[in-house]
Amino acid sequence: MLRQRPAAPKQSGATIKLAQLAPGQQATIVGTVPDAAPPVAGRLWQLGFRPATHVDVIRRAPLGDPTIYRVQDTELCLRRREARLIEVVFDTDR
Amino acid sequence: MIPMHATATADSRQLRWVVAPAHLPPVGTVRRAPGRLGGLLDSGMIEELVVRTGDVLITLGAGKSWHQLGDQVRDALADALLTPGDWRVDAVSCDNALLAQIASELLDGPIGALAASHGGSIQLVSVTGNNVTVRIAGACNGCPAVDSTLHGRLESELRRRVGKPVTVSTETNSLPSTLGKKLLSLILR
Amino acid sequence: MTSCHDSGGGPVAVASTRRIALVGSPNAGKTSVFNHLTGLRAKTGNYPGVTVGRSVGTVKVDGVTIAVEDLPGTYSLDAISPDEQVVTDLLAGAFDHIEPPGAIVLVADATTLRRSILLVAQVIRLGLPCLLALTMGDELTVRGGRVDVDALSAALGIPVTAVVAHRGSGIDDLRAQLGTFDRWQRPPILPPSDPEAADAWGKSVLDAADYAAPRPDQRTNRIDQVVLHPVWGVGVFFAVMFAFFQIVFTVAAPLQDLVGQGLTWIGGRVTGHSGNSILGGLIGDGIIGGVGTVLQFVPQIMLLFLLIALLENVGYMARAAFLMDRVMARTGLEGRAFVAMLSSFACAVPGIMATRTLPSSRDRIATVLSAPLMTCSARLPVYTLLIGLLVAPQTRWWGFSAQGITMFLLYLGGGTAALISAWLFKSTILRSDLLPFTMELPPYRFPYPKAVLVAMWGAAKMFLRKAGTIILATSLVLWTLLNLPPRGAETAHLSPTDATAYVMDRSYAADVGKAIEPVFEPLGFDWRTDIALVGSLSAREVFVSTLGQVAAATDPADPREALMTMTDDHGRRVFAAPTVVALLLYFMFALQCMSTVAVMRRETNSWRWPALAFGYMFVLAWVMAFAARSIAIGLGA
Repeated sequence: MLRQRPAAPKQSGATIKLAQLAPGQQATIVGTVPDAAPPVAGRLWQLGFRPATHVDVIRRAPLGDPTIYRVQDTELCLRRREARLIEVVFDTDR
Repeated sequence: MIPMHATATADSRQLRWVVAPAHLPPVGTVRRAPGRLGGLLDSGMIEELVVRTGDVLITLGAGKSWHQLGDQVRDALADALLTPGDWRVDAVSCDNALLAQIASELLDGPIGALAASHGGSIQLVSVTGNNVTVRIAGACNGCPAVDSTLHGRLESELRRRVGKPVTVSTETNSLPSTLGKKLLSLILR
Repeated sequence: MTSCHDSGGGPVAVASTRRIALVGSPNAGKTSVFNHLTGLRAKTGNYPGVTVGRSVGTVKVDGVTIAVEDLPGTYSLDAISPDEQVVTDLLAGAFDHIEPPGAIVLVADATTLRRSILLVAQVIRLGLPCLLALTMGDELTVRGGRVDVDALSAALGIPVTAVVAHRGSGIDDLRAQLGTFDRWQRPPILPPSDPEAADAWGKSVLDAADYAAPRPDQRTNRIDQVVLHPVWGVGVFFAVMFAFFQIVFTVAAPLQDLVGQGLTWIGGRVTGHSGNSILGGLIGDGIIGGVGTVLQFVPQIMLLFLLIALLENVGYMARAAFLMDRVMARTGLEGRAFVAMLSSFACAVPGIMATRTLPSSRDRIATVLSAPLMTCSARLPVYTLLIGLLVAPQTRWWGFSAQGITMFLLYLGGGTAALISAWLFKSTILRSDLLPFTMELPPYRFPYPKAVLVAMWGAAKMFLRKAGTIILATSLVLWTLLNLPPRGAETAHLSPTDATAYVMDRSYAADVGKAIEPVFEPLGFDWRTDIALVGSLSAREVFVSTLGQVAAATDPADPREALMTMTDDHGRRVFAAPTVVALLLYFMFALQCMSTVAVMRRETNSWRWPALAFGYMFVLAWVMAFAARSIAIGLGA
């Protein structure tokens, strides 16, 4: 499935959601959205989605969901529903 | 937040708080510390605070236990380390050995890593008085950025840690090559 | 997947003195360490009041017996699932009759230490003596990482032991330390509780331990390029599914024949040599006939379980769950439920036990209630018999074997029914609690033969136990009911075959069968079928052996012919097409398996859910059988 990859933002400070990234892209995590349910936000943190951590988007399932991410040396899959809760910025120096 | 953890020492009232050198104030015994940490020091809850090259030794007052004060001290320390410039430290008599130790820690740590990431290396050669001599090799040799790396960062870091006007010089420091380097850097600036 | 059909009845009693708990994330190798320490002699049960399984074993150190409890895998003591809540509660002493352990052995994967260091912080913060067992150290080195175990121990303030779980190295060292947990090094102060501060603490500790993170596993990457590819991956997936069914029908067949032949031979010798004809009949027909049907399927079951165990140990099952998640999400479940459903194609019992991997308790129950609809191996002999009565062996439809097509449709029907049932439950009484779906994909690891064989042997043991107890008992009871009262005087003048038929028609079983006949009359079942149905409540295979006995009574040489021509009291053919179709559908939906009911009870920790399952499936089976029969009659069958 071909999807338009989001272009790297002009200002490197603009945050986008992890769900918007396509396989092959990399980013640094900023945090979780403020209205994420605390247990969910806490679990994402515990799994390795922490600020200033690097995340690689590895691949997406053939049916479109979920997506595999590599974070803190682990490969995890998240559904779009959860990936929407994580804010990231593109890695500018890679 | 600043990475740090505590390990035990022979003294049960004393803990060694390991902190990355880049975040540490100058080496020596602390007279005044900012914020809550200063409060703990002044009130005697903390008997002694000593900053060393890679850690801070904190000794509690008599009758106090880490069980009671542990979390409090940790929070206060983390806070205080955010402003290392506000600490007042009795600088130790800076002998060659201490300067050499601090210099080699920096070269093993951030400065060395920076050089390595550009394909070169910086090694400590000797320390005399307030002067640190290093050897540059690899891609760093002849690189115009060497000045800003060596003199800029290394020197300012050493001065900050030791509190003395430390200078850094390279081994192959013959006059023509120094002049030549200065000309080159002027042209390239 | 450990042994199913366990006698997991009463609570697991544990000596009050020395108890150690194993805590760690899933995939850290915790269960491997547990197995090495306790040597597979663990007792299993449930934690009180919850649907979470409990595993306790013992280890002997310096003459002292220490209880070792394998707690469920958890990512955090801030629990989001029932399993994780058990860990938090048990360690906090919140269970009424279970004390917190005396010490904790943290099991962490060295390759994911940057993530799991936070769990280490949480556990140390509990204040109990802790020891960190670091697994996968060899893999860490191979992938370019490094850790200084002694420096890590100094930074953490607790003892650290490197263990290579699969090979068992380091286990002796670990075991030796278990005896002296009172003297384990304790940290001078506890790690911070605030998540950010704990993160900073973790970074500092790993830095002091000279920890270098491993590179991503290249081999896993390369394999996943194929296995999870949009096109090739789907192909691999279907190939795996195909392998499943090939095993069911083709691969096991020669082995099945061997077992079948052996049993027939034994049966023949017994009836031939037995002086007492009742005993001979009992052993020959009752025991060997009844149990034999089950034993014939042991090769197939073992091969299926071997495949499942292999896929799990290699790491493929997580990939299958990943591929199927979107489909399962449509029913309200998630990818891991697919693995449970898949296992149910072999037998619902391990499938139900596989629901333990589902964090959501509602997902778990919905899957437990739906999994038995999947066409399990026990239905196979029933389907084979019934299809044989419905469709002649040589018939071909559109070039394919008619029997094969029918079998395929039955399998498809079972699978579809299970998914629809799950969807219904998840849309109504078991609506989702919206847990985040997060699943780790561990690197592909070479399946260690020991682990695979242990899983396979556990399954085989379960099956033999089912054969040895439930089916044996039921077969004996049925044989007795069918052949008593013996009516020696009345049958004296009849031939042996006629005599058996005469006795059977007036046996206790006939009384029971005729009594319940009204229930099944609209479906066209006569009393003999009803008896077979009642008998097969214990296990589906019993249906075949019971009908076999009935048929052999009429015509020992050709039971199929006997069944085909059997007539009821009104002279109508018993196994006419509409009735056979009704029977097929009945078996597709009915919960005819005491083992499944028992494991449902154990996994959901209540009788409510097994009762609901039995009830709804009985009604569904009856209705579908009636509908099918009506349609068949309407079509002029």
